[in-house]
Amino acid sequence: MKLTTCCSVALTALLLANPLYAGSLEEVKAKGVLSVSLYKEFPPYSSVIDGKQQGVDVAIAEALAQKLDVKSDIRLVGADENVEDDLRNNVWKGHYLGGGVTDVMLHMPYDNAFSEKVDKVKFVAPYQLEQVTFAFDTNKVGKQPTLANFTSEPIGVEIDTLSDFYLLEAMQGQISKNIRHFPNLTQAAEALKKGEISGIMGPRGELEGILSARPANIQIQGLITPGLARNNWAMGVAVKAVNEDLAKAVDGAMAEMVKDGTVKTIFEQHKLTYNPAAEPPTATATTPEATPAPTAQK
Amino acid sequence: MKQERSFRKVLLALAVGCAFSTAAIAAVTDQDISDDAKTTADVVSYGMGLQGQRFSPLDKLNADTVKNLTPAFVLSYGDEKQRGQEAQPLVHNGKIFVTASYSRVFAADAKTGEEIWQYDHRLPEGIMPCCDVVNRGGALYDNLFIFSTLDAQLVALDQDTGKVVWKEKMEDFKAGYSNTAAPIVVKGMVITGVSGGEFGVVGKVEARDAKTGKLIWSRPTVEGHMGTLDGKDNGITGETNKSWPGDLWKTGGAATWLGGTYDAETDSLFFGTGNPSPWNSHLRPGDNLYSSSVLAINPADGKIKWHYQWTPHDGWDFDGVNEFVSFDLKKDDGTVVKAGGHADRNGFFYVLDRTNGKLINATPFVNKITWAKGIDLKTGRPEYDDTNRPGAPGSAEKGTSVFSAPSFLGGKNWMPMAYNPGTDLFYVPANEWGMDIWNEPISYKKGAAYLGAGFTIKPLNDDYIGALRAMDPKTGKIVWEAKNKAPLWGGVLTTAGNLVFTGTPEGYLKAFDAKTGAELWKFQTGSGVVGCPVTWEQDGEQFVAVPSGWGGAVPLWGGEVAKSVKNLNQGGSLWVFKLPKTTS
Repeated sequence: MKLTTCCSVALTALLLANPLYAGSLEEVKAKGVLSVSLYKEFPPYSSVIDGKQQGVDVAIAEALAQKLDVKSDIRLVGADENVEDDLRNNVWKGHYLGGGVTDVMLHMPYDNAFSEKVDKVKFVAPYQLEQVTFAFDTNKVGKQPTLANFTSEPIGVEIDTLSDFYLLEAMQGQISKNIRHFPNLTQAAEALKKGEISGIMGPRGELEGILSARPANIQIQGLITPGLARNNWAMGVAVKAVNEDLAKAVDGAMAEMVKDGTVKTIFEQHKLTYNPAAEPPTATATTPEATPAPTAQK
Repeated sequence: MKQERSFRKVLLALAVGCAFSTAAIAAVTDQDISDDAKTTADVVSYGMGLQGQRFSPLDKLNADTVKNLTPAFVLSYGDEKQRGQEAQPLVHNGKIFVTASYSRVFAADAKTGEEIWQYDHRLPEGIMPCCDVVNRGGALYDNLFIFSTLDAQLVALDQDTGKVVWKEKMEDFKAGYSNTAAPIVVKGMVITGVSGGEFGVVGKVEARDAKTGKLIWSRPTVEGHMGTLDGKDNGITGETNKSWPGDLWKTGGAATWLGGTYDAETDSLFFGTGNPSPWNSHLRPGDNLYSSSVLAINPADGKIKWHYQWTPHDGWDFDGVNEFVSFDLKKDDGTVVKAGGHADRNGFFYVLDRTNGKLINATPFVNKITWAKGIDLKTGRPEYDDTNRPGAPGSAEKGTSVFSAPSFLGGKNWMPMAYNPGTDLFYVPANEWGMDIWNEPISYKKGAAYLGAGFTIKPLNDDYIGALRAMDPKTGKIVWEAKNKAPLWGGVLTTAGNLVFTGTPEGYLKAFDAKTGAELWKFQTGSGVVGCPVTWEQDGEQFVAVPSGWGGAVPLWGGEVAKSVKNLNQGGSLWVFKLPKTTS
C-alpha cells in the first residue's frame, strides 16, 4: 500500500516535471492543454513583446486550442539548421539536451514531397500561403523596379535563406556583390529605413509585419524572379505521426477556422495580407491520396 | 593603457608569490606546462605537452608487460546525463581531473578513484550545440582547472574544492556560440577558440589572463575582421575581401572549434579553422581565407605569422580544425627540420615546415579520396577533381548526386593522433567512408522554403570503417594499420614502451605494438570509448586512464553508418588501469 502511494506520487511528480510530452487527442483533452511549439524571435508570427507572447501564429495557436476546447501552452523555440531538425527537437523526439516535445508545431511546410521525407510526423491543417517578395525604397529604385536595379543598388537578405542563395546566383552573379547579409529581417528593415540598403528580398508575411509602420517611400511588392523555382509555399501544422486522432482533430478545427474567416481576421488584425493555402505548391503536388486541403475562404 | 598593463604584471607577480608561499607544490607553473611532455608524474596539458604529441617517455608498461595491465578503479559520472565522453583527463598533485558531457567536471584521487569534488555547470535553456554535448578537457594553471562550456563560457575552478574562481563569457550562446574544446595555457595566458553551428559566426583565437580570465588579445580567423590587443585595434586579419565575394567575409565561418597547440621552439600557436559559410562553395568563389586552414599565431600579440590552407574553397565541409602536431622531421640526409604533422578531414596527411608554413609533403592516409587527385608540392595547392565538387544550388531539380570521399565526417575527425619520436611514426585514428551529396530543392528552414543539400554517409568497406594507421612522416606512407568495424572516434596515446593506445566505439581500450600494429591488450569498458587516453607514474606504478561513454557526432550524423552503431550503449565513466609493481 505504502509502496503504491510512493510510486504514484513519484509518477505524478514525473508527469508534472515533464509536461512536454506529445499526447494523443485523448491525452490532450484529459490534460486540457494543447502544447504548441512556435519559432522564437520571429515577428510578426511569434515573438515576445512587452513580456507577452504575440503574433499571428500565437493567435492561431490560441484559437486552435480554443476550438479543441482546451487551453494553449505555447513554447517558443529556436530554429535549428533545418525543419527536419526542428521537428525532431520539438515534435517527435525531443532535443538531446532535454525539454521534451509539444503536441503540435505551427509554421510547418504543407508539402507532399517534403512530408514523404519525414515519416515521423503528420503534416495537416494548411492555413497560409507564404511567398517571396521585395521591399524597396522608391527614392532609390523607383516605383517599378526590376531585379536589374540591384546590380547597382545594395539589397538586404537574411543570411542563409532562399532569398540569399537566389540573389547570390541571380543575373549571372551580378547582384552578389551588392548583397548585404543580416542575421534577421528586423535588422535588414532598419537598414532599409535608414537608407543603407535600397531593397530587401524575403518572405512577404515577415516583411509586411516588420515594416507595418513604414514611410511612404518604402513599398512592398513582388518582382519577377527568373530562375527562382519556388516562390511560395504552404504552411500548416505538424503532429507526431502516431497521434493520428489529434492530427485529424487539428486538421478539422483549422479547416473550420479558415472557412469561417478566423484565420483571415487574425492576419488582418496584424496588418498582413492573407493568402489562404488553397492548395499545396504546384511544383510538389504529386500525391493524390494526400490529406485534402480545406476549401479556402477568398 | 601601457601603465595599466605593467601594473597588472606586478599584481600577477604578487599572486604568483603568494601561491608559492602557501601551496608551493600544488600550483601548476608555466614551467610545469612547458615540461609536460618530459615529466612522467603528471599530465598538466591537453595533448600531454603543448606540442600535442601525446607521447609519454614511460616504458615500465611495454609490449612485454602490457598483458598485466589491470583495472585500478572506475569513476561513474552518474545521473542520466550520459552521451559522448570525449575528454582527455589531467593528472596533478595526486588528483585526476576529467570533464564530462553537459559541461561537468570531476576530480578524484588519482590512485584510489575516490571522488573529491564534482562541478555541474548550470546550462541555460536554448543552447544549441551542433554535435552532441561533449567536452574535450580542461587546462591546469596555478591552483585552477579551466574549461569551456556548452553555453560558451570559460570557467576556472579551484583544483582543491571545485569552487568557481572566475568565469568569463566567451561569446553569446544565444547567437549560436558554444564551446567544447580544451583550452591551453601558454605563458600565463589561457588560449581558446570558438565554436558555433549557426550562420554568422566568425572564428577567432583569444588569449586571456589565466588567473583572472581578462581578455588580452583576440584574433579573428576570417580576412577583413579587426583583431584586438589590450582592448585596442591590432590590425585586420589578412586583406579585406581579397578571397570572398560581396560581404560574405562578414559571416565567413572558419570557427576554431577544436582549440590548438603551441610550440615553444618557434614560439607559435597553431590553430585550425573550420569550413567557410555558406556551405555551398558555388556561392562564394575564391579561396575564402582563412577557412579550412592552420594559422601560426604569435602568442605575444595575436598576430598571424603564416597560414596554410588545407582545403582552399572548401565545398565538402572538410573543416581544417584537426590538430597540428610539432615534431622533428629527421631526414635521411641527417638534417632535422622543425616540422608539423596534420591529418586533415580531407584525407591527406600533411607535413609542413613549422617555421614558415611551407608544404614538405602531403599523402593520403585513407584509401579513397575523390575531391582532389593530389596536393601539388610546388604550389602547395590541391589538384581538384572538378567533376566531384558538389553542385550549385538554385535549380528546382534534384541535382546530380556526387559521391565524395572522405565524407564530411572526415578521414579523421576531432580525435587527436599521437606522434612517437622513438618510432618516428604518427598514429592516426582514420575512418574509411564517403558520402552521396546532392542539392535538395525540397527543403525548409525556419518554416521557409530553402535550397538545402542532401547527403548520406556510406561505409566504403563491408567489414570495417575505422583504421588506426601508422604514418611515416618522411615517406608519407602507411606503415601499418589496425582495422575496426565501427568508426574510430577516440584519441591516441603512444609511449616509449613501444605502445599505442586507443579506444573503440565497441567499448574497448586497446594497446598495439607501436612498430608492427599487433594488438597486444584490450579491455571492455562497458560503453564506447571516444575519449583520449593518458598515462603517468605514481609511487612507482604506471597508470593509464581513459573516459568511456559512447556519443559524439557519429550517432547524430551517421547516415548508413548509424546502423552499424545503433546498438552501442551510452555510458559515462572514467576507467583507470595500472601495472602493479609486482608485474612490471
